Amino acid sequence: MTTVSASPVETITAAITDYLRQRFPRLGPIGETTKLLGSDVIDSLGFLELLMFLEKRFGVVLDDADFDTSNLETAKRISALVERKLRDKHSVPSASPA
Amino acid sequence: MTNIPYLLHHLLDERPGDSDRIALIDGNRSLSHRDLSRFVAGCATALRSAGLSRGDRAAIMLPKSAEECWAIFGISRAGGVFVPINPLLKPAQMRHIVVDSEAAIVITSRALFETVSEALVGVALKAIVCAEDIIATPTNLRAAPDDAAIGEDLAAILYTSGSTGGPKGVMLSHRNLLAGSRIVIRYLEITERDRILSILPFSFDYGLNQLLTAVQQRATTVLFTFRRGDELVQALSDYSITGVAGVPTIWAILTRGSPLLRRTSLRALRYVTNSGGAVPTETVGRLRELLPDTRIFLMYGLTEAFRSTFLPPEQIDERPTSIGKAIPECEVFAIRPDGRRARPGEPGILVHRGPTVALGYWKRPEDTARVFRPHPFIAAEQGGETVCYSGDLVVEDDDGFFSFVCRNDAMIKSAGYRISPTEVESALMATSAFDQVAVIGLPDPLVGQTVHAVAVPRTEIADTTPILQSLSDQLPAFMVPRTIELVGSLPTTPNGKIDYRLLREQRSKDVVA
Repeated sequence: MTTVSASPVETITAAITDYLRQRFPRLGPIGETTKLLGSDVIDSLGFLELLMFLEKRFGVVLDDADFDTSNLETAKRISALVERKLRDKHSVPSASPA
Repeated sequence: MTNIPYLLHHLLDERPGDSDRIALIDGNRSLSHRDLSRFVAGCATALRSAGLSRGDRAAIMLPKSAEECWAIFGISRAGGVFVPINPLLKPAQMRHIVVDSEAAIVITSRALFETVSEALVGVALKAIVCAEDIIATPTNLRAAPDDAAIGEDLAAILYTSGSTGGPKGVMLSHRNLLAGSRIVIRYLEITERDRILSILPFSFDYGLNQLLTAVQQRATTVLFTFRRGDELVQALSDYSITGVAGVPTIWAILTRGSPLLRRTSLRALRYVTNSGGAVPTETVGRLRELLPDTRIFLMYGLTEAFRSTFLPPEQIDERPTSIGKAIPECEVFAIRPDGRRARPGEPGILVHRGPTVALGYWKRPEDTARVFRPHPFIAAEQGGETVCYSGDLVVEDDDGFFSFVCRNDAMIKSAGYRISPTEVESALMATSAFDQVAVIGLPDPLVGQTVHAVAVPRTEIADTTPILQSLSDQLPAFMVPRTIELVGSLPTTPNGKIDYRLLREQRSKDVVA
């Protein structure tokens, strides 16, 4: 998983949109700002699959705080979250800013 | 209760306290058992005036709602046969069910009226009734005294898929439904104090059974749909739910995709039940950890026998992969390919006997003869009755507990849904993009099996996404292949048929790794 940590946000976004396009064809053409949660395409199972994809592909595990829907609204938001998680993971744990 | 119910709607016969007990919670609405009865009576009146006669089929195309509940009982009260349609189905599948069941009436909502009417153009119907136009009767009329029906009459047709062709209608009598309800009440110990969360469709025998048990015991049914696992946890907590039925996918969502569960104490949750596929042992472990005080019932059933086995919760740590033993009033055993009874450790087809064995498949004598067969060891002239051959390979252990091994045919089971590979293949061939296709199920930790298509393209295809998109308009999401794998040719058996077994074996290895 260490190689992925170097990924710029764009690469992450591309991987996520690619996955979404394949897995949820009914979303139609999707861009990085296509709304994911409002549509009825991604159901509860789809949502879990998306989380597991992120876990497998990027090695990030989402915790309570990440489950805020605003973090998961679009591919762009998701990749920002993933990028943040990857950065946290590889930085030395320190007193977190408030 | 003074009278023992023998028809489904007898479960609603008035009892003291009915006006104080909540039967249904549907969003902001809550209905007492008395209210439910009044709407059921109103529904029966509306159906009779729309021309429904005894034995006529009435299809229900409604989202999970209070209306759907009173339609189920209202059709019974009107002397009809209810045919619930999963609202996730697309127009083509809905039409298949209405046409195949020769429904006289379709009950839907104003919101769906146009879609339903368009899908049913040219189908001879007596009426399409909107649930919103059904009004409650002013008083709770006692069950119609002119009930001509008897318990052996057909009460419901539930459509389900097998290994080939379109969905088939499983015929259930009033006695089947009442037996299913009575039996499940007994082993789940359901009482009027229960508050049951209903998340499964009523077109699925297991989901329907929840409603029947709750009504029979004057418990409360909370109708609920959710998008994210945390919404489910919130509902379990907000409504002080005591019991919930789910399929393996739901437990995966709850244990892996619902962080709220760790912070929520579901003290009221007395039991959860699983059916519709095996729960991975890892998920059982997580459930036990997250819900330490909740009893977990691993169950097994097939629409053809309504409900079939359950594992007593106290056995779950010792036998996490078992489906248990026969439900009360029923017997199950395993039969080897040579027709003998399988010994412990030997795989065999699960055979079910008891009062829940359905009447057969609607208008399909050949399929019926294959599944609903004479008792293998007791001749008819010696009292042997019709039993149900499940098509599921199981194995019994030394203590009489059964475990599921695999299907004995090509049927795919995904997220609790039974999917016929040939139905998906037909939809793929209809796109004209392929010369040949084979649809198989691949093992998957979340949904049991995923639908996988292996296809020989007619001309070169660079990207299968547009095909999957168009397929998504034709098929409900659970039937759309997860991937279309393009190949130059499909392997064949010495007889020249597509070698499904080889296709599955080659790909299962990759997936499991």
